[in-house]
Amino acid sequence: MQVKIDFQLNRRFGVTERIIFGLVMHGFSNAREIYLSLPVFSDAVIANAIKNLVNQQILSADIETGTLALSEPMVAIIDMCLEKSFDIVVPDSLTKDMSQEGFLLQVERWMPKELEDEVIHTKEAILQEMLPNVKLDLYLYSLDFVIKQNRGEADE
Amino acid sequence: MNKQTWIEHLSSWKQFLRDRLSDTDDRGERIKIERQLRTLERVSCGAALNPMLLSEFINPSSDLGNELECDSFSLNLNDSQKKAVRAALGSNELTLIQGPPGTGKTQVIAEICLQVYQRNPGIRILVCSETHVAVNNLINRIAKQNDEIRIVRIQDKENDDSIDDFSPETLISDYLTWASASIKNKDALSIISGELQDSSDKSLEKALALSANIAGMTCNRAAAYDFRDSTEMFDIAIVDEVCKATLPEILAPLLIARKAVLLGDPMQLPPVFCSEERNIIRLREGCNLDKYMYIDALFMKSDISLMLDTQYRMSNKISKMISELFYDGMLKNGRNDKKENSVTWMNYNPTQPWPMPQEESSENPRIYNEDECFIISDLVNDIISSDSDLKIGIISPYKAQSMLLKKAIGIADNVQIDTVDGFQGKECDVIIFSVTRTTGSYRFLADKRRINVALSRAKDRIIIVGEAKYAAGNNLLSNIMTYCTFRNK
Repeated sequence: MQVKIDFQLNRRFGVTERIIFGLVMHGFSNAREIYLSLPVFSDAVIANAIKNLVNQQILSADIETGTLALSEPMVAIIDMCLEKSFDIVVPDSLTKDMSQEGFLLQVERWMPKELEDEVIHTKEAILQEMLPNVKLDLYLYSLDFVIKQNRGEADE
Repeated sequence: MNKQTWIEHLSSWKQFLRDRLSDTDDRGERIKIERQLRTLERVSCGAALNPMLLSEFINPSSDLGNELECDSFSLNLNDSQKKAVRAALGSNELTLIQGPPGTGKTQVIAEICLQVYQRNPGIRILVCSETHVAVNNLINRIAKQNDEIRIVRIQDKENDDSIDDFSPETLISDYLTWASASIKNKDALSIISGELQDSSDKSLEKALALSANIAGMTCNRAAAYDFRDSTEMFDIAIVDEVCKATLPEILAPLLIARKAVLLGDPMQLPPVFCSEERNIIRLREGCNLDKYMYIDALFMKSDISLMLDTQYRMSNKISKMISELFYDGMLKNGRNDKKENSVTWMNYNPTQPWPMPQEESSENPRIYNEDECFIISDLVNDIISSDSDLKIGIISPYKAQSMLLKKAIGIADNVQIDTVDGFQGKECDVIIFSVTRTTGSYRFLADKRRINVALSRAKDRIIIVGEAKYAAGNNLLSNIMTYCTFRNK
């Protein structure tokens, strides 16, 4: 199946991680400015969120300059999502509810083990298809993918 | 506690909660039970952020640890309160503070919070109680003392306006107002405000709780979040009215804190079990979860618990009665106010036995007494006509009698009518206690904890309305009568 793929941070990341990731993805890289713009959260909570994102290789941090950036694999994944369509086999059990907006590939608490395994295998296949020579297992549990059937330029 | 006994007690709780879960369809109740079960699972495998605290709770050391030297206090405290604060700030993981009625537990909690905040402005304190009302009282008291302390109050179901300033919704709304004026970049503002739209987002509540110096919530709410590691740990958990909480409720805050201060009074009300819960307990052979309270046993080990020993609520005679009847004379009187006729027993001749025989023999007897309703109604009118500012509390151990009293007396700003359970944590100038029964079982009336709570709500005056002949048949009631001035109606 030809599909377009988008991604989002997994639910295990909280609101502070999502905000910081969003800001960095949109080019806000100065860590101090990020701290100053979020006084509703304590420095410890923001620092912990940055640490989580860096540990999961979502972001990279330059301690000397106090700047944050997307990690190299994340930049590559974003480029692939923007530029390419993928030919992957998505199990029927996952695609049966696919709407025009596509569907979100994520492990849910209610899922039986078999379905959970299918989600993980499909995520593996997506990452493999995106960057065949890079080991990206780390992102299996940090990123969720939105899969949308590619109907070609004319349909968009 | 012996390891095997603890394991059995814990597994008894787990089984009870599982039975309860399969017994109820109520969504809110199911969420609460599932949280409690998760808490017990974590306890079983020692998955606490500070296992030392859990271990201290299960098997407490025999001494109080080193108290912190502390000479300067923000609030006016007596010696036992100062000792309690020093112990809470000391080296021990767990501090137990027994707070009899009117001894200033809230004052002690406020002082502990102020002291730790002064020492570390980045401190995280979790303030919990079994009820929303108790948490709200604490937050209000602390907020009045220092307006720089960051406070958040999670999920305020009681709709108490005075603490609305600290709800997640208010904090986020205030922040967004600031952000719209201060963050010039529209994209950044849009990303931030987009993520903060959902104020019921658990991760947002969690981030706000961990960002605050003081996070107030019920014990059950503390089990709603997934605190991952020691970077998401509270420095201190303070649990108020701990003897009114069940074991799973008490354990929830202990799993996510470095140290804990538990305040309560094993001589006041224990947790309430609803009829469905009591049925489950009754059906399970040997199950005593509604009778044996681990936390009470912990307090009774006198070498590890401190007692606030001076009360400031009750006038002299009431204080003496409460101290001698319920605290072995250990409760000192800090108010020293001699009121005339402060403890009165109003005797009367019942027009018939109460409850009526047909009620007593029914499956769900309604225990009420119309004679006492008339007497109390007259009493309230007399009191109000002599001083309309007095706050009057009317307490009966029986729900049906409280309802009947409400009907007879009506609604008035300064008159509050409720059962004993509805009065814990409150106080009134005058307490009128309706014995209600003139025949039959003394069950509720012989319950020391219940009667202690009922009578110790009074500041200046207690009037007990009851048939003296019936009351004389019970030890506790006849002891109470020895402190009373008698009047006949």
